[in-house]
Amino acid sequence: MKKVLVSFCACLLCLWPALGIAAGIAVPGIGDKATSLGGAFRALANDWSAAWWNPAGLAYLEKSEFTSQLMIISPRPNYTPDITTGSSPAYDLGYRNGTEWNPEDRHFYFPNAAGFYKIPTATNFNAGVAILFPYGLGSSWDLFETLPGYNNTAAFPRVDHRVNFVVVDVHPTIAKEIVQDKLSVGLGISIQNGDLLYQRIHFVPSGRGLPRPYDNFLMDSKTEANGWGVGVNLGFLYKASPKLNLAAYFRSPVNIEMSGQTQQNVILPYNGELVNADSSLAPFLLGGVAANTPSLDMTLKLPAEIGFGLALFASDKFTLTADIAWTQWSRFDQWELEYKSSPATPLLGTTPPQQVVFNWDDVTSFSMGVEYLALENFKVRAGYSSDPTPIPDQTISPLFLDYGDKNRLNLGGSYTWEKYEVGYNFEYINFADREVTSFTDVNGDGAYDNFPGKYSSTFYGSHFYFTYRF
Amino acid sequence: MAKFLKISLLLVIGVILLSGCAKRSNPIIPEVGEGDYLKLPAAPGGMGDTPTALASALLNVADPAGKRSLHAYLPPWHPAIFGRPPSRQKYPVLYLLADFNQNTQELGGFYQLQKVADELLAAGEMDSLVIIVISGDLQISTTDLGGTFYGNSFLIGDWITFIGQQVVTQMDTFYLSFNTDPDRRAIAGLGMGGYGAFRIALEYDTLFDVVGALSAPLALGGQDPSGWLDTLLRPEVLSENNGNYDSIEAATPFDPAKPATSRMIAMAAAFSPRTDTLDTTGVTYRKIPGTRYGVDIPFDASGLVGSLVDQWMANDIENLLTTTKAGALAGKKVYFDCGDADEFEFDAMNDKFHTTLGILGIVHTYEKYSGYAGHDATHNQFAYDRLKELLKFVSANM
Repeated sequence: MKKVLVSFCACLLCLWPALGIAAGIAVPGIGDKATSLGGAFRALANDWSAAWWNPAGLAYLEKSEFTSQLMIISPRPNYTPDITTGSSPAYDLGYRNGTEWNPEDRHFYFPNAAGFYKIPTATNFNAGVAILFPYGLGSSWDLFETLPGYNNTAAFPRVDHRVNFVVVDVHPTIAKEIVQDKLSVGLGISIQNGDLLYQRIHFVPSGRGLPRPYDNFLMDSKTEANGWGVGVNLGFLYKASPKLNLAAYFRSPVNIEMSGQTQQNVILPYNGELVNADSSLAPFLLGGVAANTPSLDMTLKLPAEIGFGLALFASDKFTLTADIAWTQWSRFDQWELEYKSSPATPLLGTTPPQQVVFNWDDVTSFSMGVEYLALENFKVRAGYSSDPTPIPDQTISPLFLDYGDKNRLNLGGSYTWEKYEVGYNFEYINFADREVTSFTDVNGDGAYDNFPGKYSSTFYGSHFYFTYRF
Repeated sequence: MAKFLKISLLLVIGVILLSGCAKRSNPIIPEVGEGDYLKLPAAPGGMGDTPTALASALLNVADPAGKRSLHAYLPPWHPAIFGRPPSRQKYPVLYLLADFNQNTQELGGFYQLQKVADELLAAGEMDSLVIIVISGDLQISTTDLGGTFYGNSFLIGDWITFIGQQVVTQMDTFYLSFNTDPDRRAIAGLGMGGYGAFRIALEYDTLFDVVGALSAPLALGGQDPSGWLDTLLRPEVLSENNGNYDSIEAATPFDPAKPATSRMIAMAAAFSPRTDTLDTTGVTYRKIPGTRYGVDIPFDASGLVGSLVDQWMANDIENLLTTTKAGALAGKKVYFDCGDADEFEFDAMNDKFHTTLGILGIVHTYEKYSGYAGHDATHNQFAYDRLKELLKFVSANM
């Protein structure tokens, strides 16, 4: 036993320099067991969620099974804006600077389900389908208020910055043992549907030499798009010994080709005196809204992932796991808004920003977990992972909730009786506080690409599942 | 034991489920009270007409555009606003002078004075303050020079006297409902109004506790070859007139396409009017069309004219502070600022004024500000923001 533990710790030390876990817009919590082990599940992969983590593990399911899981995720982010322009002095744009704000707190409910059938005519050959929510989350903020002198007559939207984003993955998968008691392989196909709502403010130069606060007009820009993409994932599970499993895993990148539209509402200011002084300003300074709704195509580029794992069956009761994974978040570089109709800013005729810049970084992740058979048919699990954010200072935004490097703690358990199994996992994610001071326009298109200020966040997750085996 | 463990587990799960579920609320945004920005009717004694009356012997004095109106900003809950409860609270008062070609309605409207003040009050960045807005625009029938520069002049009336004596007195005695505090007065202005504020504060050096100017001509430079008159005004005026000295004219209405020329003529009306209306001689003379009056501009085709520059310098703030009005700013809180891309090069002038005040040992606050990408800090581009800074300064020092 001691020898086994020493070996496990040695493996951890080898992995430790590559700390990190992919997050970005990934939904934490697919599979209770996997999550409660901190995501160190690839070499265990002994339930339905192996379809996502490592489909090779499905080959060793002892029975056919049907599982449903409910993930409840409760992000609790905070953001203190510090958004001004100019340096000597800094000019207020209308953001609620200096005060800590939170979005509309909400709970995200993601129902996952899967059914896998153990093909009786073959040994360790399973096939089935899982329906997953691998990417998602979002937030809605009231961060902005027009400057008092702007004097708009049309109401400014209360929620002025928002993202709602979800990807559902229909995931047919097969897994087969290819070397008896040694090696299995699994292959899954990701058929993904993405749905996006992205809303923010743009400051559109008014031109015409207008003084502050009419130097920029405010445009409420809301993009909604939906589309499909396809990818694959492939995994291997190698039983190195009765006490040690090793795993390798690959998930291909996915491009979700989306179509939709952008609702552009230029909220016009009101200043009758300036119009009296120059009647040519009347179309611009008598309030109201100028609107345009160009249609668009865009591609949502989701990352590839490569992972390796090990599972150590230290005793009849103890299982220890550790994983390392690299996620190609650099694919999440920008959204190119390819307008199919004229995107000219209403009334002003200027070209609005046609890129949403992210420039995220690749990240390498590490996680480890422990499973203990506490009572007959009752297992408890705990997991930890250290998880850097892929989001650089230059494009950080309160909308995308992965604010900083994370420590993730999980605690869960499951109970089995007859053909049934139920389980629960609680996840707590603590984000490192972050402060960004410089205002950045990465691509020089005149639209700022980050939101300076102070960020802090905590996530809570509750995951339930029910499995029926037959 | 197993039962105990199960119950314990259920309890732990229950606690965990509840944690993080609470929905939070955001800070409450202070409600912004609504003040008032009202036009003042002429008081008994004709306060609103006084400068006109002074000039009435000389010019047609009709004021069809109502450019000489007075306005008052009253803060939220001021008892003089209809429906507000009575109060004996005394309010500090700021006399705010408008810029060239700007009446009081325009000053309030261009820069949303009421909303700015209301917002500062709601944010706790300013205390309640009554603001009396005064325009020094001069439009007399078809004669419109764009501004008076708030001087005392044979031609445009005695604006220094009008504001320093009559307006202030009327506020303290006639507009009793405004509850202005005679012990807490400030005077400030934008551009031409900033010049006027300093000019009046020097003349009536016991009236005001605070004096301020936004982008104002405060140091004309005299015959100094590096001064504003010679290095900036003269070449700019010549440039606007295609380098032809003889084509410089006192247009009326003033020509907005020639901003430097227009301002120079308005300054000449205040600083160097031709008092002998029968004398139209001399190359520096410019007749005001439609009248029998004229002004002298401070340079001829070859350069500055010493005698005329002397007349101008008798009205120059920097010069006055080093000569006849030395010490007039003692004990006062002094604020002035200017954008670093002022199209009239007032920024260089303000730099010099700042240096001079330093030499004279006059404590002051000077802010030279920049714009940001695509938005240079020109004469009035950031007046909205600077007005906020001025109001905060005034409030903090009253």
